[in-house]
Amino acid sequence: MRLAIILLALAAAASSAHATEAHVVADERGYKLQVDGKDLLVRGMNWGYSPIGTNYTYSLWAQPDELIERALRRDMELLRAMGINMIRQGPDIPPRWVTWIHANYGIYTMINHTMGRYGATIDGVWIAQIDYANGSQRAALVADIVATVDKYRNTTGVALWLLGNENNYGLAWTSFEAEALPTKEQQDNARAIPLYTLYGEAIAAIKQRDHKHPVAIANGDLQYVDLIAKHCKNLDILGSNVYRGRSARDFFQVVKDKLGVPAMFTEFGADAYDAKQDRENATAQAEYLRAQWQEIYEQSWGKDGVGNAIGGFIFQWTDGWWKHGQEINLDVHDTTASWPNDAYKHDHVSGENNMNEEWFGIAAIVDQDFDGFYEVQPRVAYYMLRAAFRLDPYAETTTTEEIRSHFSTLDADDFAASYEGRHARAETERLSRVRVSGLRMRLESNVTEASPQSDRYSDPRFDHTESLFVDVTVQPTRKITAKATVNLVGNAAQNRLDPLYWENRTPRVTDPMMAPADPAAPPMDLSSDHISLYGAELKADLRGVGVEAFYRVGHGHWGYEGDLFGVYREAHYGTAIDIYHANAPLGAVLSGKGALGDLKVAIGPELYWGANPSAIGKWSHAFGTLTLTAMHQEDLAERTGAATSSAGFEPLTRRSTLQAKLKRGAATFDVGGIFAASQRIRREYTFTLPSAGAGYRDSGYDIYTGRIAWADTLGTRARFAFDGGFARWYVEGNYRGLVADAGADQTITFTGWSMKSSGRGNQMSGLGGALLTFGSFQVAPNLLYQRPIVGPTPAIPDQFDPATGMYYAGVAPRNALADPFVVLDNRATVGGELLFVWDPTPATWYWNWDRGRREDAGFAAHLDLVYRDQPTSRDATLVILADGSQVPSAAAPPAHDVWNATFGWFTAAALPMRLSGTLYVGQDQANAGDPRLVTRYGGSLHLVRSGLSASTTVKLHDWGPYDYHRDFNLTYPFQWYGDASYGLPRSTFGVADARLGLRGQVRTLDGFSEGYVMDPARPRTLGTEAEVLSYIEVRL
Amino acid sequence: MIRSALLLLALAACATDGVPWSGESLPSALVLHAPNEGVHPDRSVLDDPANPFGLGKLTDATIWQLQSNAGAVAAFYAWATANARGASGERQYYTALDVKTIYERGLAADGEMPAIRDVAIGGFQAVLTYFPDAVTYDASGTIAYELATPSVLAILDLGGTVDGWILVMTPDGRTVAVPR
Repeated sequence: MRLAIILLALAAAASSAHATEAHVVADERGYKLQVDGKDLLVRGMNWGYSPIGTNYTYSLWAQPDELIERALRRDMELLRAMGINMIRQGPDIPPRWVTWIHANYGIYTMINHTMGRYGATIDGVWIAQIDYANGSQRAALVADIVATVDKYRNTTGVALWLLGNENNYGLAWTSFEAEALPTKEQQDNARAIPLYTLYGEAIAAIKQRDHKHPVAIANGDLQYVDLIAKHCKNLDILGSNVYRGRSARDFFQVVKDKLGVPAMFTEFGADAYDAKQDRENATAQAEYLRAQWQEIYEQSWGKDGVGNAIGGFIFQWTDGWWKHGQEINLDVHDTTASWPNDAYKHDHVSGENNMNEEWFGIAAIVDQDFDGFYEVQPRVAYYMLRAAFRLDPYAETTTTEEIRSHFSTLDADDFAASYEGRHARAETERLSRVRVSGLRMRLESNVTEASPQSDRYSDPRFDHTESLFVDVTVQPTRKITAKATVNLVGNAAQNRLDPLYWENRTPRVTDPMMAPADPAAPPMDLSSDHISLYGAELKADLRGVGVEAFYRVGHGHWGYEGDLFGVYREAHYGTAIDIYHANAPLGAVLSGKGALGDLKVAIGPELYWGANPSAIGKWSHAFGTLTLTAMHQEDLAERTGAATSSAGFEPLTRRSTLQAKLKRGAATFDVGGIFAASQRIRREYTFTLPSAGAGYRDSGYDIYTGRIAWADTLGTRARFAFDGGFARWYVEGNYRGLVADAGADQTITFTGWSMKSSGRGNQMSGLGGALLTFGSFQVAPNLLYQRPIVGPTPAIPDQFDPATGMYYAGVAPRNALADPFVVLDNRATVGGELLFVWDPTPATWYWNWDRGRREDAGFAAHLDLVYRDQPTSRDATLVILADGSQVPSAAAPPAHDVWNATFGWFTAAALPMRLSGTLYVGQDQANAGDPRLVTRYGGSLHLVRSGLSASTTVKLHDWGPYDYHRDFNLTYPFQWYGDASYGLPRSTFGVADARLGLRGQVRTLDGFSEGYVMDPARPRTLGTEAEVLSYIEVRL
Repeated sequence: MIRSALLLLALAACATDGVPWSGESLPSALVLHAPNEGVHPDRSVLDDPANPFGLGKLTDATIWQLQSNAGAVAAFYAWATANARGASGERQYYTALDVKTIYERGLAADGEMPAIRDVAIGGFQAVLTYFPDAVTYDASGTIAYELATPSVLAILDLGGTVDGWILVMTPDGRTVAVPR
């Protein structure tokens, strides 16, 4: 769209504008150039655009219009602000851009045909070194020049023609790199004459076709000036590349005496690198340019000088990183001086080179992006000349004295601050591109004690842990940031009561139930892994797409972006991924921008913990109040092995979903369909139905074999929510075919209910809840009705009857490894939840994940009561063995109701002290089939005040801290944790934050506990384990 | 009412033959479903339509009963199924032993015999390759017998070539297999 507007503007400008006219006028006071009827001292610039890593083959004009416009807008804005009124361009610049530059910035263009200086294609053949005596080559060059004139002569903005570029040096130099200036002795008139006669022919040819634009040549200094006088009779302006240091000395006088035409520097200036001191010297460059421009002013029309100076083109706008070597080291800003020039005395040493070809820019190049767009950093000369050009060269008051006075007030040091400040800032940014952005060191020592009733009785008492986390941030551009955290471990204590933790790569396994099933499986061996990548992330804001890559760094779900079925899941796991050494989440998300803004793609080996390697695509578009979302997930392989049961096996699957969200006033309606796991079609499974008779092997059930059909891959979900202010309510219905699995509902609807749709296939379910608000008090009932379409299978052992030879196959609870679907959290349930909330500051509702830090109420509390009626059993879950292999549990938990009550409170009444706590009681089941019901109690208290942080947790008859404790129903009669730490004042460690702490842990063991050793003589005696751990943590 | 509706839905949604399970006679002749059926790590026995144990729960106690009383073909399917679900040297050994018996007693079509011999040899070789320390126990479950030596002897008995193992004579005159 933007491009179209520009093209239209260009077309309009081209059709309505007239060709620019320029003329040289002369009188007794000298020469002036008039453009479009106005006097114009050429304050020109050798402007070009050469990204780092490119060379002379690069052309900005071959790039997309967006990049061209971006570059022109930035550079021309700066040039106009400086006072530049003309740029020098080769004949590859499209005429429309010449006009565009003039129309937008008032800057004219001098079209420069180099007349074969760097070779030319003659009759279809590339001639690297033109022979100016060759008739056919001469004719071809003239024809090309004429064609160039025809191309541009009616173009608004074109002011001058320029032929050649120090072609006279090409007669002596052996390469196209700058070399030492030719001496008088190197003159070769025999070879030069054809060059200058060709100039004369070309000038005549131009003048036959165009009288509106003066013609200049770009000679190398004044070499062969007599030949110019002899053979270039129609020359309008003597252009010359002049590198004579601070003053051109007799240059203007010689031109006047021998040629009688105005003089113009087509190149002049100084480099910004001091070869003598081997450092950038932008101030010296500025001083040379100040002196050179003062001389141009003084030698211009109407002053006390020669009166024939009509301006010059500064060489050049930006540094050319390609110039030394030309085809090598293109991304290196080379500081090699390639030719000597004693006119630049500040860094000249006799016998050594001092001209640094890559440093002639009055602006440096910095911060280049992938598109080749770079930032420029104007040097001192830019700022000083910007001030110098404020003097009108042709004002009546601009006398020689005035010029000298004006320029004498310009001190490069006064302008250095602008450049040096920007330069220093850019340098700081450059250095900060790769930096150590954080350090965290933690040193721990611990002592443990155990009674004889614990298998830790003979463990070492003392041990220690050292751990260092180093954050390295790489920011090659402002739009790309990568961060990696490396962890170095010295020693990892082996006597911890809770032995699974990040630094410990060889956790002990004491429970015999976790012994590997497969003796051929390799043992876990990470003992030598002292250095590891703890986490990494990359964020790139690229054109058209944003990229976020992550390794062990959490990400959110897409539930609020249209993902009604939870396909792309939440991946914030806290310390769990450290405990189990998970490599998740691992992947990348590409988010489209602009025209692709509706698209999002996630791909990776483990996008969320437990996921198969997969790719997920999402398209979502809003049509007014209706938002449509389509998603597809394709698993690319099936993952093997698992760290823990809570992130266990997922069979290979694919999912396609289509969902719509309609918002009308206070009402929101979501509806969608899912098609999933077509890979499992025709797979067999076992199911049971109550028998009219004794059933199979007197079990009371008839057993059938089924096969997954297409209909089993389909599911749907509908949800209606109404926000009525005082009363908010929702209802939801789900039908999921047997294998139409997806993720659980991860969104928050109105309040922090814990009872939600599981998202698993094989279910019909309905939910409904209401939130009633009475000022700061809320009551929120929530109901769930859920039934599997095909229920769990009971355990019926197999039997072989030798007498009849008949075999009766056994039936076992299904499991995810062997069966196409299972009944787990989709088991038959009638659930009720009643939530009470007291929170006087609802902007920070208690269910916010960071409530401990953000909650600001004097007192806030909630009570959540959940009851689940579970009239049937379920299928087998998967448990993880010590070698990482997964096996189905031997049995499934029986039918039984469960309930939980949780009370949480918080007070900020005594700020800065924050105090919070929880109490809970509940009756629940183990995962792996142990029928023992666990009734557990507990609570916690957490206090933060300035540098002090203290917390304590008590659990009674509860499971241990790890997933396998609940899997195998391993409980402790009593567990206590306490932690108190104090953050030392910052002055103690300078810039570091340091925290000293003490942690304690005590637990008792009975026959249901891990590691309990029963004393036959005292079988009822409880075991005891205790640990005290001291630590110091330092952060930079 | 709800219960009936659920049952109807269940049957409607599932592709089922509608025939409840009952006891079944066990096969007495072997037709290989795949060239390496019963040879670890091949698991094709689980897809063999002739395998009576592919879908149901098969307990160890039943497997031993089948080994003793149901004939070599049924016992082969039982051991091979158990081995495919959870591989062990003992399960692989008995799988191979039953295939050897099938070969020796001709419990398969004549045309199948060369392939069955290869499966038997491959099964014993799998014991040596993947489970070199495999043992089996006597009925009391306390006395262990190593399975490498009988595996080597069985391969030789079948006219096969043993890979990676040789037989040596111990000072007390016993013949034992050791890795080469």
